[in-house]
Amino acid sequence: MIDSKLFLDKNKTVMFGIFENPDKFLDTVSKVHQKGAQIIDCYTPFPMHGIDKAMGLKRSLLPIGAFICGCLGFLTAAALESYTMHFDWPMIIGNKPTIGVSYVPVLFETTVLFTAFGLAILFFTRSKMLHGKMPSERIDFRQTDDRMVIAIATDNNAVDKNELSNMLFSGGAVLVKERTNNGYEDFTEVEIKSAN
Amino acid sequence: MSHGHEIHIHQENYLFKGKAKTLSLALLAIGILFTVIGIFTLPVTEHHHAAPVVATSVAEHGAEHATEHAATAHEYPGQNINGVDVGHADEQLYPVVSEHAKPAATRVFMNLLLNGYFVLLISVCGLFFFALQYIANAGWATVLLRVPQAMSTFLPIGAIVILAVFFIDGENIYHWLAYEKLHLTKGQAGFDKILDSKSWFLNSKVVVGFLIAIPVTWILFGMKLRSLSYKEDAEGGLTFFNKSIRLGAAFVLVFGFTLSILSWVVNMSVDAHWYSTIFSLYNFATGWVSTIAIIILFVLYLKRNGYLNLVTDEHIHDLGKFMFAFSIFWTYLWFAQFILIWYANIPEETVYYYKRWESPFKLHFFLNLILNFLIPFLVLMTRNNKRNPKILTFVAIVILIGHWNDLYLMLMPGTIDKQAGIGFLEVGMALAFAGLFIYWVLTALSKKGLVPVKHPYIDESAHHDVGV
Repeated sequence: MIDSKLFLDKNKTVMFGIFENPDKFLDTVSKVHQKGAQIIDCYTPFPMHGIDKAMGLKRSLLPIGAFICGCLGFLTAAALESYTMHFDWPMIIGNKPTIGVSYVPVLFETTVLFTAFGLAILFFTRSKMLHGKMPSERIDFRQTDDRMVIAIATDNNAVDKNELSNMLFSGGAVLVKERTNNGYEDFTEVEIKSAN
Repeated sequence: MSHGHEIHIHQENYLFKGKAKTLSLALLAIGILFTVIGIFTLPVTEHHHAAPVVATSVAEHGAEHATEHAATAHEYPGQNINGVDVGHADEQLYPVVSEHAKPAATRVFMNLLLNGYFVLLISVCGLFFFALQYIANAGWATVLLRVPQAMSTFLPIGAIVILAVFFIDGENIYHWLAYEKLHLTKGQAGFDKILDSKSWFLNSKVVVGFLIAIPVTWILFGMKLRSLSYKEDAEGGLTFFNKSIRLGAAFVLVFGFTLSILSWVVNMSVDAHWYSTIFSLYNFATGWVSTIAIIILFVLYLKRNGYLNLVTDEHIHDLGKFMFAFSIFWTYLWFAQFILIWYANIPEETVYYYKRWESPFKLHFFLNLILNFLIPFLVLMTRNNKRNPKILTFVAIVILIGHWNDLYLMLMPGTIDKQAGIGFLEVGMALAFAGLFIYWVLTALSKKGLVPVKHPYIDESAHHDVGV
């Protein structure tokens, strides 16, 4: 899992590669990851197929969240139905047992309902996209339109900075920026010219 | 990850020889042997009748309010269904075809009908799968399309078996057919109001017409769709693809209506007094999930033997998801039919489940839910299991056995009832059909290329990636 705190920490140095071609972007992300550089995150204006594998992300835990939400829904419905139909006051309808097959439709629907809503809320929380949430930072003016951004941590010296910027440029980056550690308020952005 | 490198599309030619050929023929031979043993060891029934006899000891004054009282009243005198008294032995108001034992041979024909109907469902759902990819503009399954395509070639066998059974032993299987032969009119002893009101549809002329016309329509659609696909292999271009979309759309429309009619005349009419409006959809679910299971088995077999190299874990994963999803879809329909009847508790509807709840079928009733719902639901829930060939093979086989059992439960109680059972005959017949089906489909696969190389979506399919 990408450490989301790393990006917010203004004491870290971060290199940004800005791309316009999604295919080249995906290839470069894959190469940067294979090189051993620490990718903080990628920002794309649209969902990009296969980018999680290119970044070396582990599988999301959302399915487990879905399972837990489903179980919660099932138990809620079971509790509700058994309390109202059996324990509080037994409701005998058509001489049917007060606990039994007649519970299934509500059990099913509540399970689905809890799974769907729970999953949506979990997803938006995890991706920091809950209603009213403003984007914290914008690296490139066109990053929500047609440009893709890769953010790489450079303070750990895993990969040489020049090598990294060359790699980004040769992969098709239109712009490479670096943010250095001059405090929280006024960090400087160094625009790195193309190696050519 | 499939991104970033070119995948070369090669034609593959499957050679049907060696182990697969021997095994499928051995399965057929063992099946026939078991069937023969089963036929010779059949229990001999006491009363032999060419056709079931209609009970004539009906109180004539009672015939008027026949419809108010269900078949239940006669068939289960004095019984208590879920606490509701459904009738007494001395109130035989409802004239039904008597419960006299059927000839022993009927059990053989019932098995033929069951397996014939099963393979007919599977092969037509294979064709449906094939047509569906075109009309949905779906690319993912293109690399494995030749498998359902080959499955659809088995259509004539199922159709012929069903038709033959109808002609040879129809009167023992379908009690409305036996009733029709009596030519009873209103007021006569043994007159059946319900069967009479249904006779405009449920009569031998209409049913034979459907039994011939429906499979023939499917076969013609199948031949045309297959030939378009093979021509595309040779010539390429978008012409065949566009034609297939139009033809596929027409087929899906026809399929929806015709499969419903076929499920009524072949399957639901064994209990001609009873009906369920969701029955045809329920039958489709049975056939469809079995078709997915068989596609998985064939694809995994071909892949293990070095064919279908374009099929990756991603395609297998999607097929696994399909199998998982449609197992639940089947359960949904099964339950939709069951709960309304259970809750409303109207005798003429309840009789259907009441029969299936009794001793010879009770085990099958619960086995149905375990094999077709619980096992696929619990086993296929995780992602890794859907990508694991061994687990998929296991679940696919469980589902096939489960849906055979499902059809057994639909067909047997309404016809041979207490004479039904699982023995050499049932196992043998199922094995024989399985052997023949495997032999037939693999032969069909070996005749043409395994990959639709010039399909417009072949490249997209080869790069298929489910994303998780």
